[in-house]
This record gives sequence, C-alpha cells and structure tokens, in this order.
Amino acid sequence: MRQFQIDPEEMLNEVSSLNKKITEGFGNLMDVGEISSGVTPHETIYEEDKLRLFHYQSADTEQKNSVPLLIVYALVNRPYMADIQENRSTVKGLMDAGQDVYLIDWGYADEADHYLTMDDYINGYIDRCVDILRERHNIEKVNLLGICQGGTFSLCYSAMHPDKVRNLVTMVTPVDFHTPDNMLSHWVQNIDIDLLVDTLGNISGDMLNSTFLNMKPYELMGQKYLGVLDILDRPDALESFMRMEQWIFDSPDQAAETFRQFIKDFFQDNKLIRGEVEIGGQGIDLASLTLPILNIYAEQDHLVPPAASKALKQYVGSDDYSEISFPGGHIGIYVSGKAQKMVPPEIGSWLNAH
Amino acid sequence: MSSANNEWSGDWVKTQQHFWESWANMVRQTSAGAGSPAGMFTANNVFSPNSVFTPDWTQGLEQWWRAVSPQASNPVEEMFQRLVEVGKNFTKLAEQGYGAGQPLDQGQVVKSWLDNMQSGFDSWIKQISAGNSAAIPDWMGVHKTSMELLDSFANQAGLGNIPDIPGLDKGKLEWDRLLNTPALGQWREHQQQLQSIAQRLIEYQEADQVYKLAFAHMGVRSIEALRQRLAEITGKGEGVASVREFYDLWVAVNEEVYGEFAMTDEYQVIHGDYVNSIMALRKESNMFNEKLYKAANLPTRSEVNVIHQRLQQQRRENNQLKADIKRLSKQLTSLTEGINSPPKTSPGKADPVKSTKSANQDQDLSRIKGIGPEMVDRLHAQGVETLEQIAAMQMEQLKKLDQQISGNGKAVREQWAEQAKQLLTTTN
Repeated sequence: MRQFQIDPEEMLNEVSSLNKKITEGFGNLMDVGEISSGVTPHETIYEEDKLRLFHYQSADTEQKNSVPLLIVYALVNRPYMADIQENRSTVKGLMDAGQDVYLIDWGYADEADHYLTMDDYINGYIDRCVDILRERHNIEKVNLLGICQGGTFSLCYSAMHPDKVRNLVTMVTPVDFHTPDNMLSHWVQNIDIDLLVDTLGNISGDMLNSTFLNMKPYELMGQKYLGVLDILDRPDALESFMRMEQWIFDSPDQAAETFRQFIKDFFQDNKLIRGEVEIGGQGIDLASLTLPILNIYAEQDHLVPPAASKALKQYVGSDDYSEISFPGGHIGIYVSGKAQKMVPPEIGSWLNAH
Repeated sequence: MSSANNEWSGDWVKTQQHFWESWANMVRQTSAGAGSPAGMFTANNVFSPNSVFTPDWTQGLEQWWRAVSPQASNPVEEMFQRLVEVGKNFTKLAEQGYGAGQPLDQGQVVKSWLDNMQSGFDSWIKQISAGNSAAIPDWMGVHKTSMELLDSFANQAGLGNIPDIPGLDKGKLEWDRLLNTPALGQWREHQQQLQSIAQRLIEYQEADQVYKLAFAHMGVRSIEALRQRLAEITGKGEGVASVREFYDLWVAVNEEVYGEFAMTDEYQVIHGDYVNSIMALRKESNMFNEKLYKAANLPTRSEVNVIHQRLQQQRRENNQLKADIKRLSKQLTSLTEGINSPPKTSPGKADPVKSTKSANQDQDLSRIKGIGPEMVDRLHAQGVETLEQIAAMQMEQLKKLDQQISGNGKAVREQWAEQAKQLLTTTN
C-alpha cells in the first residue's frame, strides 16, 4: 500500500502547526465580541403578535422602483440571513438595484402560536402586511419575493390574491416535493406527523436543525470546523464564519398547526402540484397564476434540490416566466460574494422591467 | 531502523510536550487556582511520556475554556465545543495511524488501522444484535457525531421525563413477564398506563437498536469504500500527502456512503420508526404526567392548548369582522358620496355638473349586483373601469374577463353586461 506518502516529519509538522494555530488563534476567537447581524438600517412600520414588518432605509435619494418589494422569508431559520453582514447583504443588493425593500420578520414562535395555521400566516399576517404596503404607497399591487418555504407561501398568496401581487420572485422555493433527489422529503414520508405534532406541540428549532445537519453530518459537524483552524489568524474571516454559525443555530420553533399542514400536505402528499392544497377553505391552483414570475434556484442546493424548484415552470399559467440558476448552495445564494454580484442585480433589473 | 523510530518518537514527544507546556501556562495565567490538568504531569510537574501516545490535550483546552468562557459570547463558546470535538477526531486519526511509534511502514499501519475500525464495527454489530446496550463507542470519532445528532432528537423529545418505573433497566425478559400480568386492584388503570408506557419504551429501544445496527453496517461499508478509494489512488500512481488530505478523503467517502444509505427505502423506514417510537412513548408519558399534575391541582398542557385554540379562533373572527367593517365603511362612503348633493353652481353650469355626476356613476362598477369592492379592484386591474366597457362586452369577452378576475362564472351568471346596459339607460 504505497499510496500513503505522508512523511512522518511532515505529519509531525502538520499536527504541531495545527496545535500552533489553535494556540495563536484563540486570541482572535476571544476577541470576537458581540456578533451583529441584520446590518442594513431599518425601521419597524408594523407589529402584530411576534411579527414585525421592516422597511429598509437607504441614505441615497435615488429614484426607487415605485412598486415596493416585500420579502417573505421561511418560518424555518431567521430572515436576517438576507442581510447578514455589510458586504454580504441581499437586502442591500436589492436596494442598490433600485428596489424599495420591506421584509417580514416572523419572530420566535412559542406555544401561544401553537394554533396558527397556514391560513393565519398567509391570509392573515401576509395579507395584512401587503394591505399596509398598498395603502402606504397608494397602489393596487406589490412585488413579492419569497424565500424557500416563504416562496411556497408566496405562491399560495398570489393564487388567492391575484389582485394584490404585481410580480413574483421565488428563490430556492420547493414546489414539487417528490423529486427523487429530495433527501428531506424522503426522510419524512414514514413519520406520523399527526402523532409528532399532537405529542410535541410546536416543533423545536433544534430538532429541525439536527435533521438538517444530519443530511451531511461529516461535513457540517466535522470538516467545517477543521476549516476554521485555517482562518483563526484572520479576524475578519473568523467573524464572518461566526455570523453564519450563529445564524445556522438560531432556529425558531415551528407553530404546530402550520407545521402539520405543511409537512403532511406539501411534503408527504405533494398536494401543491396536484392542485389539492386548501388554505382557509380556498383551493390553490398554480395554473391560475398568470402574473410575471422569476424563479431562482441554486444548482448545488441539497436542501431544496433544483428539480423541486424548476418544477414550477410546468404548473403555472404565466406567459412571462423566467428562471435564473445560481452555481452555489441553498445558503450561498444569499451570502457568497459571487452571489452578491449576480443575484440581486438581476432581480432588480427584472423587477424594473416589469 | 529502530533508531530512526526512536528519533521520530522523540520528536513526537517533544512536539506534544512543547504544546502541552504552553497550554499549561495559559491555564495558569488565566485562572489562578486551576493548576495543571490532572493526569498529564507527574507530581513534580514533569511531563510524563507515558501519556504521550494518547495525549488528551483537549482536556487542558476545555479546562482553560471553562475558566475564560464567561467572557466569550455564547455562539463562540458553542462553536468552540465543536472545534474541540473535531480537533480531537483529527488528532486521533493521526495518532491511530501514526502514533504507535512505527511510522515507517505506513501502508501496514493504515491497513491495520482500517482493519481495527472494521472489526470495531463488526463487534459493535454483534453487541447490538445480542441486545446489549447500543451506546455509541468513542472510537467511532466522526461517526459518533452523526449518531449523536439523532440521539439529540430523543433528548429534545424530553425522554428524560419518563415516569420512574422500578426495574426499568432490567432487560426485556423481565418486562415481558410483567407486561403479561393482568392489572388488578384499585390502581388498575394506573398500572395499565405504566405497562403501556413500558411497552412503548421497549418499542423505542428496539427501533433504536435497529437504527444503530443499520448504521453500524453502513460503517463497515464505509471502511470498504475507503479501502477501495485508496486502492484507486494507488492505481493512478497518486498518493495522499498529508493527514489533512487523508481526513478530507475520509469525510468525502463517508458522506458518499452515508448519502447513499440515507436515500434507501430501508433508511426511510427505520428513520420513521425511530421518530414515531419516541413520540409514541412521549405521548403516553405526557398523559400519565398530566394525571399527576391534575392531582396536584396544576394546569395541564391539554388545558392550555384548549385555551390557545379558542383564543386563536376568536382572533380570526375578530380579524374577519375588522375586514368586513372596513369594506362596508368604504362601500357606505362611496354610496353616501353618490347620494349627497353636488357642489352649488350657477344654473348655467348645471349640465357640466350633471355630466360629472353621471360620469362618476358610470365609473362605479359596484352598482352592478355581484360586484363588490374586491371585485372592483380586480376589474380595475384588468383595465375595466366603466360601466360602458362592460355593457359593450359580448359573451365571449365577458367569459374571458370572468376568467381573468377569477369570477367563477359570476360575470355570466349575473349578466353583468345586461345590468350595465340597464344602469347606463337609467343614468342617462
């Protein structure tokens, strides 16, 4: 077995330099102070229960798209990922691309939110936020940008309120939950969701997180941290890493009834593409969507595989449907430098042209 | 050869010693009373070479960390734990492969390491199959983290709250006997519940066993895959040039094998069974506990759930009422505006006023029965703003419009075009 050419001396050096890096780098680790995220200045223009509606403020008075853009994030994880740090902010990128940006921050659900249904979230909270924007800007229709589960919510919203949505952008949004490469969906098929929700109530964010990490455990719980040792001597890189780390483990609990419907109807029964979803008694028919749609997906997305998002094309009724694929992962599409140069500008110009 | 060995071992010792000393210094500096971590130094503070081949340098690290950690922000602390964990595994990898002091025949060392891992998995499989505790052995290193993630599921489901059942850890045979004993006496229901919980516990343990067994088999496959990958590398005339490279290779192979495993039908079943068994157990122990809370006159989760449910329903109704009131107010306002007398003008200007008034009325689509404010919005969105436009529509156009506004056939059913024509005649 001659494939090991690791010189013993080299190996020694390797391990001792590892030790050295840790020793020297800990100073930097200790210096990482309060990790701030959600960096772009914003004001809260509406509050309801745990929800807050943010309006992002820019210093420049450049002409903005007169149609406001409302970002609807997933309930899973925290929305500040779209605004994670100064030079990695999708929100800022959109503002630079001429958009007037609003975002719904869902807050942290607790047992008081146990009985919130998808109807409550979509036809309740989202609809009220949309109405506020319509009044505030004195317009009939707003632009929506839905992220992941937020995109699925936005699709449903647009189907139920076509009079209020002008353009829809969906990012890494699952539409077909039964594509063969969907690990998350594969795992959930044999779980008795009613038993789960009846027993636990709200589903803890930590539990969801364990599930996500278990999709690539060796990388995400092992190798990734070895990579930290390489950047221990670079405070900036370390801080960026810590920001992402904080976000990854900042998982809100999921309101029980919404979780129940979302997992059973969307993941297990794949009702969305079958036109069988009912929200608050209203049927959701993707074919009834005729508004312009921009569908963006990430090519190496292991959480929402590209096929799950791309399926949207064949189900919507829109004549004006475009796709953008980003070479990266589910999170990279928001935070990587490459994505910042590509994605928000393209969204901005598409919105400006529609 | 042996002198080269000794030289190398000496270097290894020196490296560890140097490293260890700087840690010890750190500990002494940052916490006055902490002293040096136990076991690594002899009584005279001399570094003991006996411990060098399995130095738990991380012990010192963790102690030091505990001393300084109040100053560190929490996410940093958590990340640090993970860092330490992976550092341990990495170093373990190096040591298992090379720390035995015989680095020269690398091939042999790596092979025996792989063989050891494989037999480790094999014996673990035997243990599990024999019904012994399926605790995850420490040597599993990186594999352990993955398994622990799933165990955390059980922890988060609060399985620690299982009511105290005497003799619970005695093994399956005893329980079979107990479970088959019919429940008797005034505590019959109580006993039945406990028996049921014990049954759920057994089912959970079984599901856990099945899961870990499948995982252990996967572990064996991952060793095989690693062997194969190494053979391929040799075949290409390439090599692995550093421990880091080996680690990365190991991670890549594991992810591949695991990824394949996780997408099998078998995995789907055991994953589901595992989660379901935890929940079934938790559900029954919850119910049992609720009886205790009630007896202690405490509120129960079930009770609180009912309150939340009723409250949420009430809030929904309130929101609906608010929306209705808003809509009706708007309608009322527009109706009143229509009825109120027009602004005063001189007689000569009567006609323009009249035509303004009728023009307004002609733009009021809600005069058609079946068109409410929401529908007005939708019609406006389609560019339809006057009664005239509707009145002029043929059947086909009306049907198309109906589709565009999601009217579900209303426009045709309620004869909007007809109505519009009527209204226009009246106005004029």
